Amino acid sequence: MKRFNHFNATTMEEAVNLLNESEGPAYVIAGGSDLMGCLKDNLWMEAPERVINLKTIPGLKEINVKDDGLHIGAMVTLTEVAESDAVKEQWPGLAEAARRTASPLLRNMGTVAGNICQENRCWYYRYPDKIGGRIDCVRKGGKRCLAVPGDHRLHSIFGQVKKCIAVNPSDTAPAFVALNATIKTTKRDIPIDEFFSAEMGAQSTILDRNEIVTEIVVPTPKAGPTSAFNKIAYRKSIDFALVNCAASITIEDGKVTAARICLNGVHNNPRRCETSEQMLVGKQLTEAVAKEAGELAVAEAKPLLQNIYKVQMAKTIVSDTLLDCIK
Amino acid sequence: MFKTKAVGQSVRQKGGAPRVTGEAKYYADVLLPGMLQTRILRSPYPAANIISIDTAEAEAMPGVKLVMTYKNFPKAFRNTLYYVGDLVAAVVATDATLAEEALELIKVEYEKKKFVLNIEDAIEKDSPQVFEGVDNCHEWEFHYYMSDRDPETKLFKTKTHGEYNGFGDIEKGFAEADVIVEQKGLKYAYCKSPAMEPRGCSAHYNGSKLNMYTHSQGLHDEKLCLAQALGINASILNYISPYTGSSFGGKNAFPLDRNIASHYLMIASLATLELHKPVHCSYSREEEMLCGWSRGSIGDVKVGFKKDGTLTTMDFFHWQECGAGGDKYPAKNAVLATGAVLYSRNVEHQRSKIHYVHTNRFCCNGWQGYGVPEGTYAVETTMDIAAEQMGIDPVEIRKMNCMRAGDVDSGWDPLTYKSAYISSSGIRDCLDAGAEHVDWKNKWQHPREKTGRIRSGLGVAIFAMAAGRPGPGNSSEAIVKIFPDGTASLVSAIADIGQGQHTVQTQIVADVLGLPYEKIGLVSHDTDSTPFATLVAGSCGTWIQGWATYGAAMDAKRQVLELAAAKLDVPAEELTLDENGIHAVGDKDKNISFSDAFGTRGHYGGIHEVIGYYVHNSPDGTGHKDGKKDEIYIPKEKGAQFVTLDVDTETGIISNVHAIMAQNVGKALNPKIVAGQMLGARHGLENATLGNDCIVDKRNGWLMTPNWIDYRHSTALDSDVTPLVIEKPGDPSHPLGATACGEGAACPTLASFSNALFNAIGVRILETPFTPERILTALGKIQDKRKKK
Amino acid sequence: MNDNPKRLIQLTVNGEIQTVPVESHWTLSKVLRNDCGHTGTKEACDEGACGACTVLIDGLAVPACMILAVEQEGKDIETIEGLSVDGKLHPIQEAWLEEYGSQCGFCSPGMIMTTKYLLSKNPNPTDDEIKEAIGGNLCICSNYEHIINAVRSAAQKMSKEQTHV
Repeated sequence: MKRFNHFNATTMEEAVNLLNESEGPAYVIAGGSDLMGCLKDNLWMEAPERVINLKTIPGLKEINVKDDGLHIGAMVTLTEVAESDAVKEQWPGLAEAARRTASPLLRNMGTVAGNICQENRCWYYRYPDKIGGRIDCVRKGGKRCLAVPGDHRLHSIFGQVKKCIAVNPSDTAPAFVALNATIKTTKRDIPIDEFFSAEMGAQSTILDRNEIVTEIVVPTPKAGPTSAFNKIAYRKSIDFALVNCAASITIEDGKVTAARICLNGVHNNPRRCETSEQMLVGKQLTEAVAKEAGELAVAEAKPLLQNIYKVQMAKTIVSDTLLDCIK
Repeated sequence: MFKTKAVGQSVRQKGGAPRVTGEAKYYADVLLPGMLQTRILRSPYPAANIISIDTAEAEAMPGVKLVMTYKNFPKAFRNTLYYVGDLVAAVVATDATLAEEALELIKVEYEKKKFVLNIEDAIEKDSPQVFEGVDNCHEWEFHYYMSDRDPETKLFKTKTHGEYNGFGDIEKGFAEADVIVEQKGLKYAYCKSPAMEPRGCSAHYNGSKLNMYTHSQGLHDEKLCLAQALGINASILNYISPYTGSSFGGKNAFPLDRNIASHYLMIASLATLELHKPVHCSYSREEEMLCGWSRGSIGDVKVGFKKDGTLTTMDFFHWQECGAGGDKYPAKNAVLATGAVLYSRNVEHQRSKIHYVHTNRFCCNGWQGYGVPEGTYAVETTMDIAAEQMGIDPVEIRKMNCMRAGDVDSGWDPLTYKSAYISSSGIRDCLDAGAEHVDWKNKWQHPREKTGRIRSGLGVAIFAMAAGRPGPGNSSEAIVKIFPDGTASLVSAIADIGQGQHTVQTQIVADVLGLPYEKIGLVSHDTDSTPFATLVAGSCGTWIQGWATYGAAMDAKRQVLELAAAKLDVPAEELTLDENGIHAVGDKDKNISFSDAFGTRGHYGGIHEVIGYYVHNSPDGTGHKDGKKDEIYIPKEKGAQFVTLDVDTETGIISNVHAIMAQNVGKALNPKIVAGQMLGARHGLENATLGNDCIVDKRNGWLMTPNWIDYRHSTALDSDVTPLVIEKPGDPSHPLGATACGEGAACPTLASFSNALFNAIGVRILETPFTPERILTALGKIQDKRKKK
Repeated sequence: MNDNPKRLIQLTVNGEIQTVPVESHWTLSKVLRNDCGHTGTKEACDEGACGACTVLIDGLAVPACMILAVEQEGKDIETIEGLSVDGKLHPIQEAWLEEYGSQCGFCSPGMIMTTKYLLSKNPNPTDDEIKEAIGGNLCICSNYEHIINAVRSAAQKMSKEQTHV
């Protein structure tokens, strides 16, 4: 790992100032499970000049249920969300997404806010410098995406963003999309549907370089805790999803009145399944209807040669997750 | 022979307490004062020449002590590079970060060359040559044809250098067969040898002695090879390895072959010889994944049967991927799965044609199973296809044809012997035990009867693995010391890499001497203090070292009894030992303490220890049938494995994977250790089902899975293994009737898994790993567009 | 770019207060091993994917290779070396020896620390809960069945100790 200057921030303002004042690239560190991997593999073209610790800022480690919903502080860990009785009761899709993230040890250190900000896991992007040199792919400002002509079995089935076909790897991101969360930052409140963006270079979100997530707010579901999350991965622990999915539905008088469904691991950004959502409204959620929703979710898929299988997985997981919402 | 008290018990692990308190010092835990750190610059190209290399800036950096390249250290570095990650240069500095920074200052100009990255392409005649002027695909140089079978002993008397390994008349065999089953293209993916502790070492030359702290499977062998490779006297090199953080064969070092990944030994040794300072050189996980050993193969199998299922003829073509150099010998071990050994019962005509193939990938070498898993995958999958075609129960077809005790091993390794008697089998018992455990009779269903989204599968495979081989160059030694306080020590360099050799060998000493296990010490940590012990590979420790330990303990015991005999005036043959001392057999009143038997001693003399020694040169008389020199017993590790699993036919994901591993070990010297060895079956399960393959970028040769996130080892949640320890007494090749248990767990798993998967979905997938993509394609859920022409 | 000052941090390791000069990019596992003398904390994957380096920070099991030492000011850290007291093994360590929880032993320190964390939260775990809890700790010897036996046995030993107190 390269040397950098390390700062312990005591307030968000100080952290923002430290970001602003940095001459070279600067990163904030919360849990650090994603950042440390990037630093160790020295995968960016420019190494960070400074790393700013947010854990020394008080008051960011709370889970509160308020009138407008669930408030998750920026330093709340995945374990804390996964084990919170309140979350399990009202937002089961989120609790399950947190529980299925990474491994128990990483969940103890990794924050939920960090989980939705993590960088992609494309194996070209992440190729370490220790074994023949870093790969300067298009996402880092290089000329080409190496995965398109190379090995893309784990990559996007919904096309590319700025030539990049890496997928968003987060497990909690689709849960927050399905639950229609709001991301509060040092600058603004961002609706979750606008939060993710692979357009900005290496990072996965629209956050400015000097902008820090302070809190995530998840509205309380109107018609009870009808949300669910599923993950398809090789391993049951320490693994990123091949495909994952979260859904949240509102059922009134036996019929779906609202639905939000989000796939991840299938595109650069978490992908809402809007045609499936629209189809569901006004219908009774039967197996046949769930299956149709799955089909609609992948109707626009454009898989590459090596990842056609992910379309089948995505279709299946959408239908499974919808049915899990009413289990 | 003697009463077993410790043997057969799950006594506590020798060296167990330091392992659980953190006090055990693995090589990286030895922090020598002033130790320098090494970082290695590695090739970005799969095939290249170094045109120029400029290290001036790196050398000028404060803290940098040495920059090593092919120019100043040609023994360790070359200017030709054969795979991504091959050695370019190394920096030795006072600090690891400094060394990393210095690496970036080395300027290298490369000339890129053409390369080949997979076995299928490498076999083609016009593929780029990995080693210039040499075809990539080699026929095995040591093919031998066996003939002239003695009608009485059934042993082959003649071996002739030929075009394949085998016996009989393959053409005749198929001409006479009632049923012929053939399967080509059974591909075993290039998988990585697993080990928790990354390889590396710390070396310190202090002006008179070079101390080498590292992990090891065979301290003495590695020491001599290293001394020879360095060109130094063996007498100044002490090889120290108190603990090894698992190895499974993959960390075995062989510094004489520069294609094999023991470069850390050469780099650290050359640097410390130059600098006279301790030098640490260890691999990161990424380097370990890139440079550690691998394996993969393609097999074609054709089998001929009589109508009733008797297997008479087998034809086996095998291509083993060796990467850029590596060890070609595992290829020959694939033959253990054929009529030469595993199916020796009825096979009259056998042909095994072996090839090894070079590619521009990190080298392949033997690990856990040493070629047998690849051969077993091909043969045991084909046997399942045969059972299906002939309508015979998969368990029954194996019981009919598998090797039995006393059958003839027709030379899987004809380099060292021609043919020999299989000392014990018990595979049929293992099949029965496993079948009962899984309730095969009621649970096995033909795939055509299966419906629904989730389909369960049940499969079986058997295996035979080498467990030591009789012949010149196969030996092990031991010293046993008895002390006047009635304790004893085993002095043996036998490596404990987690497989339990330290424990079982001291158990043997305890029982030979009649002393409690707790009173037996162990000296094993370095070469200076121990006699030679065999490399622990091919699960041969229990067999070859077991004899040496037993012999040394008997030798020490004899000497103590002789001392006591003189004092008690009772012939030594009528005396025995126990915890309290020496006494007459049948008359405990005639006794003497150890201290008194040893006699007067003090600061200036007297007997302070009685030293027994034994070298077990294989084969010695103990391994001969009825004492006949030409009739040798050869031990095998053997057994059967059943796999059960569920397949989600909509996602291709496999779950509820459970392997039932049944092995006949003759005598379980330590039941828990034996069971623990069988748990190693999980390595096969993970390579079958967790997508494991050393995935390489086809255009650039980069390894895309260089870490433990993209290359997936099993967690506790991913599968279950049930060990069934079968003890059939009477193996004549071991003093306690024990046979090997270790690598066997790796051998049948890809096949039993493949067979269970077929049983679930009714379609055969020929290539490992059995990914969701392959399963969904096999089920017709998706179209594989790559294969359309 | 970097003025490279070492910063002094004070932390408690196994009950003892230590003051250690660290560079900003040093990981906790490196500092525990090289500067605090606790080489029981193993490094195997260097990316949090194997658990060999598991320690408890303020009672929480985390992979020390993924944590910056410079951020540990004032933290209470427990490593494998802190478990046995005056040579007397902790019940988890006893259980490990009885059940043959170690083969090569390289995963044992981390696995045992994870077990300590599990049993502090859930003194009587089911087999499924044990598997889930050790889901971040790899044992490449594949000794999981024995490890699960050891965790189960440790739980029993510890609950017995509790009732005797």
